[in-house]
Amino acid sequence: MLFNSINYLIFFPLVLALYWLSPRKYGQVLLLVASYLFYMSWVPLYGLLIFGLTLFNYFLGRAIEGNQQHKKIILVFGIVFNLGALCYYKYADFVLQSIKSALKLSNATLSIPPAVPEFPLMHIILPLAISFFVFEFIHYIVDVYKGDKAIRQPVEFALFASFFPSQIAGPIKRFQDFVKQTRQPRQFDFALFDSGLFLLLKGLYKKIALADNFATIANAGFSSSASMGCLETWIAVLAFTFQIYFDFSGYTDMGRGSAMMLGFTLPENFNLPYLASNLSDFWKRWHISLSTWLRDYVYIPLGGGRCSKWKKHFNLLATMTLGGLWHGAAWHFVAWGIIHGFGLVASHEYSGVVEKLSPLAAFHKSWFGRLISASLTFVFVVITWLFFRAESVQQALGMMKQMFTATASSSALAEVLTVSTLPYAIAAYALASLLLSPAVVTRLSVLLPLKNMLVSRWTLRYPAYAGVFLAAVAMSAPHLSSFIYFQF
Amino acid sequence: MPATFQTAEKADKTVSSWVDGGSPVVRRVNVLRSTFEFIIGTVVVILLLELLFAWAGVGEQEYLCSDPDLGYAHMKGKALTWRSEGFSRTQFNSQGMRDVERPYAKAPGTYRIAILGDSWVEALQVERDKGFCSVLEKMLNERARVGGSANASITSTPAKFEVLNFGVAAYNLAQNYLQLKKRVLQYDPDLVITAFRADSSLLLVANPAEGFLYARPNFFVDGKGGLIEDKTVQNMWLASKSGKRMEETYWLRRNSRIWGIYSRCAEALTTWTRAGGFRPAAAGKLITQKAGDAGGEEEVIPLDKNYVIKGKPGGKGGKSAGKDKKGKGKGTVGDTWPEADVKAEGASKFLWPIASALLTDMNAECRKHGCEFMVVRLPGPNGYDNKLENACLKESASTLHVPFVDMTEPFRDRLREGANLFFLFHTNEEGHRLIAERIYSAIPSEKR
Repeated sequence: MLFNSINYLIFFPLVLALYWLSPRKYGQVLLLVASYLFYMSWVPLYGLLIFGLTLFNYFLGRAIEGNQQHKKIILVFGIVFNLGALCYYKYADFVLQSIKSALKLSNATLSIPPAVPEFPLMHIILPLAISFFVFEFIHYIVDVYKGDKAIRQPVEFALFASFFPSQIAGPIKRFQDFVKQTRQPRQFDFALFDSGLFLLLKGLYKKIALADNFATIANAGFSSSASMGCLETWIAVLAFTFQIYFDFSGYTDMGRGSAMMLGFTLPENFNLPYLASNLSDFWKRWHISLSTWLRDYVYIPLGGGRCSKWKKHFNLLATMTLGGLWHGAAWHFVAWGIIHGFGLVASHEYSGVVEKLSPLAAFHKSWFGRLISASLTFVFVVITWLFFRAESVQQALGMMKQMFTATASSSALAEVLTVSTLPYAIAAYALASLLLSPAVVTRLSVLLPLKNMLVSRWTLRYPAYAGVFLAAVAMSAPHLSSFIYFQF
Repeated sequence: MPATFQTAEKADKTVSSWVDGGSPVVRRVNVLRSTFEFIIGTVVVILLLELLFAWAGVGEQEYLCSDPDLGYAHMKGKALTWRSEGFSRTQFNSQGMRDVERPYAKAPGTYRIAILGDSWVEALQVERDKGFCSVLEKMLNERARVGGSANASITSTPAKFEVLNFGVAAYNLAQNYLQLKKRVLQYDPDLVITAFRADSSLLLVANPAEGFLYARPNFFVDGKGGLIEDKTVQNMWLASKSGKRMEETYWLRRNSRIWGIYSRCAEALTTWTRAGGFRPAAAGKLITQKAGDAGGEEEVIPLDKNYVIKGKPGGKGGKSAGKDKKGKGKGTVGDTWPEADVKAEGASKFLWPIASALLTDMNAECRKHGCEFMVVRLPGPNGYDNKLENACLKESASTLHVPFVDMTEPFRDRLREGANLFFLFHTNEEGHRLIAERIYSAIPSEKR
């Protein structure tokens, strides 16, 4: 079920009403049932897979906690099992295809007649959100291994694993935070509910009015990439840059908003990432729950930054490569991760140089220096999105060449740009963001009473919410699409 | 976030002040104040949204109103931005035609062509000057300018051509017939063309359950082959709750873009309900896609129309008619076409006596007013054709001795060459150009 679908528009208010109106003791069970219904609305059978993994990890957590002598072996077994499930569903075909291609290539190089064994691909359907589930399970068993208390209530654990607002594309939760909330007495908090509603609507606008419109442009560009000129390639790549941000942050807002309306808070996932001053800063602002997971469960166990310079660089590179591979079973995702890894290494090295040269440090502290840093970081991120979005590394390289070669543009994107409601959607979003931005409001005192009036009175705020909903529907692209991160 | 938390807390206090704050008088004042604020807030939001939507050109898809003679017609003078398939910004003229203003009386030396038909003639998917009516007019006038100066004195070639667009979405042959009698002939045309799209004969059955577009006059054929008009379904629908609501909300439908968005939501909900409501997604479709495919055609969920066509053209068994790598219908190549629906063919055969009688009467009306009559056959999406219906149409045209232009093969030829001629259901600029060229060729050479 997509957050931006009619199904959810009916499903969520129903769940919300039942949850708040039902006796307290049934709250968790109700949310659990709703979460499984939500998940099984795609492929009902895969509900069993998630149920099986949940059961396995529940008992594993208990086993680690209760068996101090062999807890390491149990942990390793648990990690291997979880990763095994992920690899089977997500990477089996990728590995088979890669071996096949490698064999074909080596045979061709050695002029050996084609004798590649015919091992057919498995064509496994990827269970939705398995990467997110597995990462949460690994986090759980590792933290229990480190000494945290395992969850004893099976319903509580199952709800942690399947909680529908964060089920499909995160944010990747930490069980300690989640369980703290499930154990608190359920109490309707109007402030939290209201903020959740606002986030939900904001996310909906981001998704259907902005991301889907950007997607139309990006898809038109990437599907005819070979015939595009320099300008068009930049437009297509920039369109994807904003598509993925509004898509993913829109999803997160809707998920977090839904959770807040149910009385839960989920971690933040984005903090204006395209304004980052360097690549390290970018990863502190982009998909925060994943980058912190990678930091805690890959980078630090590898040795982190408390080791030799080269080892630290290797750790960074390995973490980012794994991060790339996590996104998808394809070489272009791996390339994306590696490039970011090298970018981070370069960024760390440069930071070392800046620390030693005080004029350079002063420059970077000036507004102009910050502008230059942020712009360069943004351009780097934009170019790397090419590898993320392309069908293959070859396509990404081809498009990159086009971006830096002065070639005449055809008019392939012109039609899409004419039809799109995007310019109006951006203008409306930018205006609303500016009017609500503390930085602007404090500078333009005339706005302050207006903002206060709007946000302090529900009588004015709720018509405004209805307006945001209508504006989102009005500006939406002709067809809704799924969220990009659903495939991971 | 903190900002909204604070505000919500304040709002909470406002709500609680209703309940427990002060004396009954104070409480009453609070309620009144809040009600007043709510009304003011709502009005301000409505105004702002209307401004925003007008600027962006959204929410303008309500452009049909009921018509006592024709069932429904364009709203006269309504400005419209069409976004749901293709794109155009247009304004219907004061007579409700998608055309420039056309006076009834034609200037001397003008050759007037009136084209009747459905959404293909209306052509909202493209700008007005790209629709085949406008393209045809331009072609004829250009030719008249080039040839006219040399031949004007020695031939009867008209000095000017006008092609009048009478197309209205989903119009059937009966509506075209009525429109011809009640409106078109007032314009004194020299040639009347009726465009007949594949499966159009099926529209001859009015079904009130299908809603507004099907609430139109019906025709039956009596024992002697004469036509009997029947408005039962139309009147039934107008008397129904939906019909009354539509009449009552005419002003909103015409002027409010917010109403347009509301209608779009209601339509989406209807589509959702008809599609079965909560159903598991097709296995794997959403999850086997690649990163960029998130917005791809295969994964889309129709919001306002249920017309996503997958794997086109070719239909069943079309070897080369499949999909490209990204699962999108290419709309090109292949010798196989979407197969004619056997049921549709059967229904066409059953209904053809009505269509034939309508065509006969249309031709007779034209002759009575001294103008020519022509029939143009238009294909369905991606070269689809209802073969039996096409054969009947051809035979009727032959019996009536009127020119018959079949666009099915020209479209298929271009599709075989790899041309992209369709948005989804409707043809694009290239298709319109092709239709204009073919009609141009069919117009008697002494007239062009």
